[in-house]
Order: sequence, then structure tokens, then C-alpha cells
Amino acid sequence: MEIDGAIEQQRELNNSVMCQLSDPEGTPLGPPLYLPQSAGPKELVQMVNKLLNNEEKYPYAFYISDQELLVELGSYLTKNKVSVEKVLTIVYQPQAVFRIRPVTRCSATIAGHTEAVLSVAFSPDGQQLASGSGDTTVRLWDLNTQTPLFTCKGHKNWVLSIAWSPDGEHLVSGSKAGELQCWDPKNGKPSGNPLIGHKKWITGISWEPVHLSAPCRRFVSASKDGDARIWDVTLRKCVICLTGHTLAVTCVKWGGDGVIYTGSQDCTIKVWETSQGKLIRELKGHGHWVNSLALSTEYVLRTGAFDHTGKKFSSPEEMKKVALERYNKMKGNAPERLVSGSDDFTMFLWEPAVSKHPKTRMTGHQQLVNHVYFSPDGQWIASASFDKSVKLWNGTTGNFVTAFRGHVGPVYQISWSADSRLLLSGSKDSTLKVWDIRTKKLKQDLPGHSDEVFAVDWSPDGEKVASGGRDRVLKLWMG
Amino acid sequence: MMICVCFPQGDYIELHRKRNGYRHDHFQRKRKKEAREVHKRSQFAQKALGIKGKMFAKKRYAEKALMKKTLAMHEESSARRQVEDDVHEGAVPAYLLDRESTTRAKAPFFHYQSLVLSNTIKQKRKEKAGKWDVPLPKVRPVAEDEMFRVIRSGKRKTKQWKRMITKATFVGPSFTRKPPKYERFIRPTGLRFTKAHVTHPELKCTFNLEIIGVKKNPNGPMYTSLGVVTKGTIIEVNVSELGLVTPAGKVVWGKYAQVTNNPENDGCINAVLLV
Amino acid sequence: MVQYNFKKITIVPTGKDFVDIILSRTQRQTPTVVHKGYAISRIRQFYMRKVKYTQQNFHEKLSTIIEEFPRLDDIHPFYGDLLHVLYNKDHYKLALGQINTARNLIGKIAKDYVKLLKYGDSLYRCKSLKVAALGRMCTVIKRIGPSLAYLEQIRQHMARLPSIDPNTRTILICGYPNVGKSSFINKITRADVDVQPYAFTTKSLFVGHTDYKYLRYQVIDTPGILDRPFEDRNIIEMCSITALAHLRAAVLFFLDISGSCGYSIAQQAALFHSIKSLFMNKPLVIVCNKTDLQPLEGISEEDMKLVMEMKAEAMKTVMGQGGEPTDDEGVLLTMSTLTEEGVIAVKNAACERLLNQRVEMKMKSKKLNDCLNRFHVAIPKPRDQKERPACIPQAVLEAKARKADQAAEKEKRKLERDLEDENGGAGVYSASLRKHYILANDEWKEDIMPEIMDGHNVYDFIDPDILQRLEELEREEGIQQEQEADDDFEMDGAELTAEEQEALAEIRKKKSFLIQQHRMKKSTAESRPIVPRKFDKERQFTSERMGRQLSSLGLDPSLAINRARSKSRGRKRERSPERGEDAMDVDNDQPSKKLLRLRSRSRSRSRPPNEVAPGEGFKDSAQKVKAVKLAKKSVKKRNKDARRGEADRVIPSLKPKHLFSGKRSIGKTQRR
Repeated sequence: MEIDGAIEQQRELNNSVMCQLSDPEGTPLGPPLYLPQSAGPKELVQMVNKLLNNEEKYPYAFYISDQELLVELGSYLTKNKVSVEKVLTIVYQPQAVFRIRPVTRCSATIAGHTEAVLSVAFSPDGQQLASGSGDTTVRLWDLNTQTPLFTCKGHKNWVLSIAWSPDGEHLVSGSKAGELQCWDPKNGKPSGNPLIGHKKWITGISWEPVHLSAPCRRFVSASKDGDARIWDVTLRKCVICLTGHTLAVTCVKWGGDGVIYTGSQDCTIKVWETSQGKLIRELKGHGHWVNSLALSTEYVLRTGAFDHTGKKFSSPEEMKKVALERYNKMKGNAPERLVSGSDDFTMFLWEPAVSKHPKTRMTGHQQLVNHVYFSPDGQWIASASFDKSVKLWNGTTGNFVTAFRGHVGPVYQISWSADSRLLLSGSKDSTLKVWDIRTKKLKQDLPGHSDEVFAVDWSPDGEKVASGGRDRVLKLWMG
Repeated sequence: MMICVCFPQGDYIELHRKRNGYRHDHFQRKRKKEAREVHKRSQFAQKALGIKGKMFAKKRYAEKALMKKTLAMHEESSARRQVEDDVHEGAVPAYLLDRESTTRAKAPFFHYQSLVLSNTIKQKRKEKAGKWDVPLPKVRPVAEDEMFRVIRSGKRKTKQWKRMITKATFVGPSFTRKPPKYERFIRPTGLRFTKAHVTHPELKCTFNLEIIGVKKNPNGPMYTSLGVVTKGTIIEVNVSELGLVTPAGKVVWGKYAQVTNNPENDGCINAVLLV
Repeated sequence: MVQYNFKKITIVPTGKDFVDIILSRTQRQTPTVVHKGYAISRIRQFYMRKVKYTQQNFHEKLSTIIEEFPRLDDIHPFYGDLLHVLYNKDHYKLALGQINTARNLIGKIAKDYVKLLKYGDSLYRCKSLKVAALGRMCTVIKRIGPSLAYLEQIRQHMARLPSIDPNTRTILICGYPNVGKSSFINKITRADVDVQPYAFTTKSLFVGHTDYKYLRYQVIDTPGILDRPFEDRNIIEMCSITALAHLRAAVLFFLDISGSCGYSIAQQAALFHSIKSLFMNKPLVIVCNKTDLQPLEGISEEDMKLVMEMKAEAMKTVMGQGGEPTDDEGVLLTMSTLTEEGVIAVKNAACERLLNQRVEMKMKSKKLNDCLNRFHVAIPKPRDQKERPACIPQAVLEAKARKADQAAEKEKRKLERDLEDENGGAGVYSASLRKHYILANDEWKEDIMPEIMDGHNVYDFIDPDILQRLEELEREEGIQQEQEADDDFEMDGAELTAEEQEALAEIRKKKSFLIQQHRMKKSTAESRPIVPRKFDKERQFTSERMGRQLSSLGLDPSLAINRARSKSRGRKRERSPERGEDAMDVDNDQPSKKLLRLRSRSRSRSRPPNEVAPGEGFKDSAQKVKAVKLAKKSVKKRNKDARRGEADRVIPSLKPKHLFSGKRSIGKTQRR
């Protein structure tokens, strides 16, 4: 009897593991628990929901030392030969509640532009689509009928970048002649004269987050002439000019804390405060041009108060409140993280509010890094490089996770689906590819363009993908 | 890659000048010497003969052309230009604007209207018919005695049935010779080539690509089967490094190219890609 | 290992020049002529040779470049670091790497094409292959053109780096810009470094040499260092940091007490503390410069404290060497380069400290025994207790004493300059140059001297010895007068004796006669015949005609004819047995014809050529004849023009008739 009991006890002992659940930032959730080895992700989800006292059951993904836990604990332990003696730290990551279906087919090929399509952008609520092209026009497209809606003429040279305001009221486009034009998306007419100020072409536009000021008034534009300007659409003029960079400013982002990040060809990233336009910090470290910046809260800032539910708001204050809620939920307690990709083939992960030294240096690409993008939940960082690969990195630590290979030409742009489970990449080889984050493999290949793909965007409601390139057509893809 | 700082270890000349000044006739002499240079050069140009003269004349002509260009440029700049406001063709997004065009040139430039690749139906039909749309339609025929050299064999060197190919050949990786006693055509190793310099006709840039096989030699099917590469031969090359993709999404890895030089005279195979 | 003499690196030509040089060398040094008709192996060999030759030349030249440029890892770390700071090690290595790859590529090209040439069966084919090979090699070189230009720049700069020997005794001067480092080095060495009021005048390292205790020290002047974090330093500052880091030297840290360099003592102290890690194991001397503007005692409390802190640091280095801890003499020194006080003291202190340190190091090292074995100090034992001081002769001692007095006197003596200064300076006081005149009467010193009188310069007529000369002259005159009187007497004639007078008369007569004769014989226009004989072809003007003419005039022609005949020369010169005893006897009016010939102006008589004169040394006339012949032959000019000479056979008539006419003797044919 005793022996049996002992064996049973031992079996029981053998069957359970000491686990400590912790959130992505490292704070432990509850005390260490004995969990049976037969426990899998589903059971863990229940556990976490209970411990967190969530009203609804949210989905979570679990990671043990950066590897996702897909099977039962027991099999995981035996596979990885982890000892039962030690306390196992399981990190849980909240997953998006909704699940986006991967796009598989091209639903429409809309012609209209007479020159290459240089940029596409969905509005924050996902109802409208705008594209800028080398024929100096901005076109708005009807998503229901998949036909052109408005053609906005007014620029003198190629339209290089477009940006929607987070409340969906304004659309701003910047051109190669250095001018910015504000459009009314409902009727496609310009709302005012072009904003002149920059001397060379516009490289990037970013709006002020709606949780800082609603309705949206200000946005910042970056130009090749080395300065970034903050404009006010209601005043229709430039309010502040941020000078300091010695070479072209390649990208600009308005952060959620009310600071502006600018990356430049002079290898530095400058952090500015927005009321006076003063330089707060200078982040040095790159050895060559900084090509692209990404913030961990970027997706939330872009979509503002809108989310996958598609709710409409009545007043700007309500929008602001909701946006603020969403922002705080997304951000959590951690400071905002910034990742920068450069021509020196590396990327740096910074926490600008904390220190001016980079947190991590992410190396591995064999050619310049063209585009970096945080996933909407901030968990992952994706980087597109001219070495034909897309690499995936951990969003908090910056550790390398996996590389997606499949393109045969330089990868130009990437875009995340709203649930952070799918990643879309467009490349010079004229194909788009959808990658699954969970399986870390190619989900879907989307050929169809006959020339390089310059711009891709995934709508915030996850239904559609828009892509445009040198072949002058805009392609819409659906699931 | 340059030394940006010019260090003053060699500025003893300037130091001396600062301390002691110049000779009393320094500037006059310098001026006169420079004035004399012009005459001396023209004298030399007139007297120099042979290769020296030719080289000098060439250099002088280049200088003259450059001077003319700069003068033209100067005159231009006085007129107001509106060139910058013109909308150029070939729009690229902002992240590609500052990059040199060679990054684009590495991949072929597909015009959206042209049918590109040989997998399409029309091309397949053309292939079957054996009709080719090639840059060199007519090629000088090569005589057999130019192509082959008779090798005497046998105990008394009387047998003359062996032939050695005197032109460049391609044999393929799985090639094994017939036993020497029986082989009729000898392809010397020194004349075997595996790579060709292939030019893209629109991009005007050249790549060093591997040959997959000889498709057709205009001198006759016998030469095609032997793998002889002469001027005008159509060869198939491995283009995977160009990164071409069909509209259907497949990656292209082989294309045809036509040889444009005489490989036995130049030691290399130059070809033009057939798009 | 290069003796840090980077001047020996050969010039790196530019890409184009490189190609030109090698190709023209190939054209000159390999055979140039080949024809279609040659054997095919010969043609192949011809072209293969060219290809190989070109490849070899490229290989050689590229190899020299690669070998001569120093490898940064092989040379002394000081130079390695200095070169890295100046030229960036990576770029340098990359450039050399490119050259290396180019060399290998060219080798491969040559090999491939030589292989292909074996199959060339016509001249055209071989030629095209050779052209292709050379062309490819030249493109390779063209591609590395930028690297070659970069290396040439580096070479030029390296050649001008100062030759610093990292192992010898070195003194390093460092500090903020404008504190007076370059002025110091200008003072103690012969270096001529530029000194300017702006910062960073010295932009690189300068070397000077100075001596102390019969040993040579090299003094290195560095550009100023600013107090900045390490990453921010520019290339110029990095040079000085490199020097500090690698050279085992005595360090002189310069401090500008007065602050006129623009940096306060606090800042300089901060710099000191930030780089003090570089001063490990080096004798450190802190030098306070510009004390003429601000003496050391006059600085404020805090500054003094900072200075003392620095001194304490420097003392640590002294202690570390095992020197006496209390010896703080050589650690903190003051000086001023403007007034030059304390400069030598600083130099001596630094040299002394360095020397001591080096000696100690050597003593501790293992090589000490080798050194000791090499010399032996002999100390002679004293014989007895007697003192033997140096022996100086009395006269020398006295002279020395005198000299001392004189020197004292000299010092006491007032100079004109002092006098001038006293009396109001240069413009006011003019020295009286006459006060030291040596005159017979002192009152004459102030006299005005006349200069011009009657239109002449008085000085031309002044002679100090005039009185003496006058006396001499008078003496001479007296003698001369007597002489003149004697002369006149003799010329009178009345005082002569009878015989003397006769003799005198004879002499005078003869003299006048001679003169007459000469005048007669002289060939003046009057005495020469008006028509010279050479123009008298018809022989009209004979003496007979003259005689007839004179007779017709009624004059006696005989005299004239005789004279004419005496003047003329005979056609044949006859020998006369008598030598002219009385040839001079002109009183003979009717000489024989033969003798007339004698009197005419004929050439001097000589011996016959064969006759041996007694003193000549010949045995007999035959020998003399032979000798004369030989002499004449030797002088004859050689016929170097290969012209026909006398010895060459001369055919007077090329086709003599007797040989070309007639028939054959035996009658075979009618013609010859």
C-alpha cells in the first residue's frame, strides 16, 4: 500500500510542473503553481483569465523562453529536456480576440492611375482607400463597388506619401515638389491651398494622435531638405519647423506621448517635443542612413478610436476618450519602444523615454533594411530588407525569431493584419506574400502584379488588402 | 574612401613663404611660364608622331569636348530653367528616390504591356515553329574545314577519321567522353565554356550567367548536337539570379540568349538576352 | 622591418598610368614582328610570350606595392595606431586587399588565355586572343583605380610623417591648445614649429632633438587636446592621444597659469585628470608656463588646490619608480618661454627623470649583465696620502686675475649706449664721435675741417707724411742736379781726348753709314719697282730697257743697273765655295755675277740633306736618309676615307686599245 501510494504520489509529482506565469514585461501573475503536465494552452488560457479576473475569455498565447507553447506541458518538457525541479516561467501574451482571415485572391484590379502608384492607405475606419501616384494625382476608391471614386488633382509633381488623420476627417498628401495638400475625403476636393514650406520633396507624414487632441488638427511632415515641419490644418500653415538634421529626414513618427521622432540620412534619430519644437534627445548609433522608424503603439495611433468592431462615434470628445482608453491598454506600463532600420543592415530597438542608448541591436540582414513595422499588439517587429527576406523579431527584447524567405527580389513594404497573426510583404519581384506568424511559414503567395509592388496596406477591419506598384493598377485582395 | 584631412606635414613650403616671402620676380615668372605652356603644348602636338602622338591627340580631344560642354552649361545656367518642375517619367516612392538606379537595374524592367516570358502560349507556339525573333538574323556560315581539324591517328598516322573542334563548345555537367578509341569528335577542354556574359537589351547591363545548354546553332543541327557555340548560336542561360517572376507567380530560371561574338577569338562568350 | 622610414615606398601610379606603363613596356621588350607565313607554333609562342610578359609585369609591380606598404600589425604599435588614426585601418587593409585580388585575377586571366592560345590556328585568332587577354587585365587595373589613388595619397602623407623612433629617449609635450608647447620646443631644439595665437596651430606631431649629458633626446610636440569624451575626439587630437599611449616617454604636461590660452586652470586640471591614465609608468613633470604674465604664487586658492592635486598625481609616478618620495623638485616647475627663464631647468628636469627611469629599467632587466660585462671601471689605489692638486703655472693665474679685473672694469665702463639712454634716447642725444681723436693738441678736436678749396677736394691734397717726403725729395734733387751737370760736360766734345774724338767720329760715321745702307735696302714705295715682276709677263721691264731709257735721258745707267741687279735674285742658286767673308763689304763695286747672286736675298744656306752633321747622332748618311724618310712617312696623313692612295693600283686607262682590239693570237676568233 505504501509503495503504491508512494508510486502514485510520485506519479502525481511526476505529472506536475512548477510554473510561474508572467506577463510580457516580466511581472509575475500570482504565485508559482503546480500544474499537471497534461495541461495545454487551453487550460492555461482558462487559468490566466481566472487569475486576471477577465469578464470575457480572451485568447492568449504562451511562450516558454521565447518559444511558443503549442502542445501540452509534458510533451514540451520531454522534447526540450527541461528539468522538473526548476520553476518554469511561462510568459503569456494577449492575443487579439478577433481572427483575421488570410487574403487569398485578387478581388479587383482597378486601373486609373496613369503612372506608377507610389503609396496606398486605408482610412482608420477601413471604409475608404486613398492612393498617391506618379501622375501627380491622389485617387479615392470605392471599396464596395471597387471602382474609382474621386480623383484629386492639385499637385505639381509625384505624390510621394499620403496619410489619413486618425479621426478619418482629413487626408494629407505630400509631393516631390515639396508641397502638402489637404483633401476632404468625402468629396475629393482640396480643403485649402497647398501648404508650402519645404524646399525639397516630402518623405513622410504623420498625424498627431487623436488621444492627445481631438478633432485632429496637427500633423508633421518630413522632407529631404533636412527639416520636419508641424502644420495645422485649421490654420492652414506651418506652426513649428524642426531643424537640426544635416541631411534628409527619411521618416517621421508622432509618438503617443506627444513627442516626434525623426530619422535621417545623417545616421541619427532626433526626438522633439511638440509645443515648442525643441530637441529632447538625439539617438546615435547607426552607421548609415536611417530608413524607417516604427513605434510599438503605432497601429493604435493610426487607427485612433476605431477598432475591429466598426463603431461610429458622434463627437470628437467621445473619440478622444475611446482612443485614450485603447492607447493606454495597448501601452500598459512599459515605456514606448521605437525601432529603426538603417542602410547599415542593422536595426536598433530604443526606449527613448528611458535612455539615449539603444536597448538592442538587431543584426542579421544582409542588405539594407527598408521598412520596419511593429505588430499591432506590439509583440513582434517585422523588418523588410533588400536581401529578399523578411525577418521577425521579438517586440520587447529585440531577439531574432525567424526569417521569412521566399521573395526573389528586394522586399519593399510590409503590413500587419489587425490581429497580429498575419504579415503581408510586397516586393520588387511583383509578388505579395502573406506569412503566418504562428507557424512561421508562408501562408499565401499573391502574384498578379506585372511590375514592382511599391505600396501595400491592410485595412484595419482586416477584410481587404490594397497594393499598388509600377504597373499602375491598384489591386484589391480579399479573403 | 579618401583621406579627408590634409595634414600639414608637407606645408614647409607655405611656412617658408610666410616667413620669407616670394622672389621678387616670382609672379611675373609664373605668369610667363603659364603663358608659354600653351605654345609648348601645341608644339608638342604638332611634332609628336606615332602612338605617342595618337594618345596625346586623344587626350587633347577629350579636354576640348569637356571644355565645350562646360561652356554650354554655363550659358545654359544664365537662362531660367523650369526643368525641376517637370514631371519626370518613372515615378518611384520616397524610399527609392535617393538610391542609385543600379539597384533597379539588377532586375529587369518589365514594361507592363509586353509579354515577357516563354511560358505564355504565344511564345510556346513560336518555339514549336522554330521561328525566332533574334537580334542577329543572318550569320556568316562556317565551313567544315574551318570548324574541324583533321587528326591523324593509327600506327602509321594514316587514318584521318578523327576531328578536333576548333571552336568554343559547351558540353554540360553530365558529359562523359566516349572511349578515346571510338570518339570521332574531340572537344578540347581548353575550348569548353560554362559561363556567358549576357546583356539585357533594355537595361543595358551585363551579367555573368551559367549556360544550361545549346539550343540551336545556325550552321546546322550537327553542330547543335555537338554543342558548338559560334556567333549567332542560341543558348539557354540560367537567369535565377535576376529574380524574374511570371505573372502567375512562378520564378523564371532559364531564358534564351543569342551569342554576339566569336568566342574562339575573344576567349569568352558574349550574348544578348532574348526577351 | 622598416626603420620607420616610410620614404622608401615606391610611387603608386594611377590606374591609367599603370596600364600605359606596362603596355608600353610589353611593346618595347617583346619581339614585335610576326608574319602570317610563320609556323603556327612560332606565332603562338610570340603571342603567348606577350601575354605572359604582361602578366608578370603586373604581378611584379603589384607585389612591390603590397610588400612595401607597412602591415599595420607588424610595425610598432605606436605607428600602427597613428596610421589607424590617420588613415583608418579598415580602409587601408581593404585597399591593399583589393590590390591583392587584382593580382590574383590577372594571374588567372593570363593562365586561361595562354591555355586558349594553344588552340589558335591562325594569326588572326591568336592576335585577337592576345588583345582580349591584355584588355581584360587592363580592365581589372582600371577597376582598382580608386584604391591606387588612395594608396598614393597615403604614401605621400606617410613619407612626410616625422621620423620618431619609439624606442629611444623621448620627451612628450602635451596640454591644452595655446599653452606654449610649440614655443617651448622651439626654444630647446632646432625645430621651427609655427606659433600662432589661434588654437590648433600645430596640427600634427613635430619632432625636435636636444642634448643632455651627452645623450640625444627627441622631443615630440603634440597638437593640443581638448577635454572631451573619447568618442568625440577628432583626428588631430587622436594623434596626440596615440603618442601618449604608445611611447615610453617623459611627459611634460603644460599648464597655462595665466589663462591667456582661453581655458581656465580648472578646465586644464579636468583634462589632466581625464587623461592621467595615459601617464602610467611615465615620469611626469607638470610645467606651469607663462609665469611672466601670472606668477605661480599669485593664483587663486582653488586653482592652487587643483595644481597641488595634479602635483600629487605626478608624485605618484615618482614613487612608482622607486625614487625618493620626498624629491619633489622635478615634479612641478614654472617657466616662461617668452622671457626664457626656467626653460632649461624644465628640460633638464625632464631629461634627468627620464634617464633615471630608463637606467633603472635597464638595471632590472636581464640584459644588465651583458652591459656590465662590457665595461670595467678601474679605480687606481692611491699610493700615499699626499695631496696632489692640479698644477697651474703662476702666469696663468695672474692672467686670470687680470682678466677678471678687466671684465669687472668692462662692466664698469660706461657704454655709449648707456650714455645715450641717459641723455634722452636715440633721437635726442647724438654721440660726439670726435671725443676719442688722438691729436697733438686736444683743442683741435672741436675744429671744423675744411673740405673744398678752390674747387678741389682738400683731402686729395693731404698727406700726413708730407714733411718727410719733402725732405727726401730735396735730398734727391740735390744729387740729381749734380748728375745733370756731369752729363752736359761730356756732351761738349772739348773735353775729349784726341783718340777718343777720333773713335767717336769713326763710330758715328759707321753708324750713319749703316743707317744709310738700310734705308737703301728698305723696300719702300720709292725703292720697289712700280710694276712687280709677276705682272710683267712680256718681260718688257728689263734692266736693259731701263738703261736705254736712262741713257736717252742723258744719265749714266750703270749704277742703276747694278743696283737693280743686286736686288734681283738669280734663277738658279749656285753654290759658292767661299763663305761670305766680306759679304758686308759694299765697297766692291763690280762683283761677279755669281757673287751678285750671293748678295741677293736668297734663302739661307744649309747643308745638303744627306750630309750628317757632327752632332746629329747618325752613323752615316745612309742612316740619316733612312731616318728622314721615316720621319716624313710618319707625318703623312692616313687615308681613313678609303680613298684611292698612291699605293693603290692605278689603271691609267681602263680599256687599253691593245687589249681590246685585234684578234686572238692563236687565231681562234676575230675578236678577243
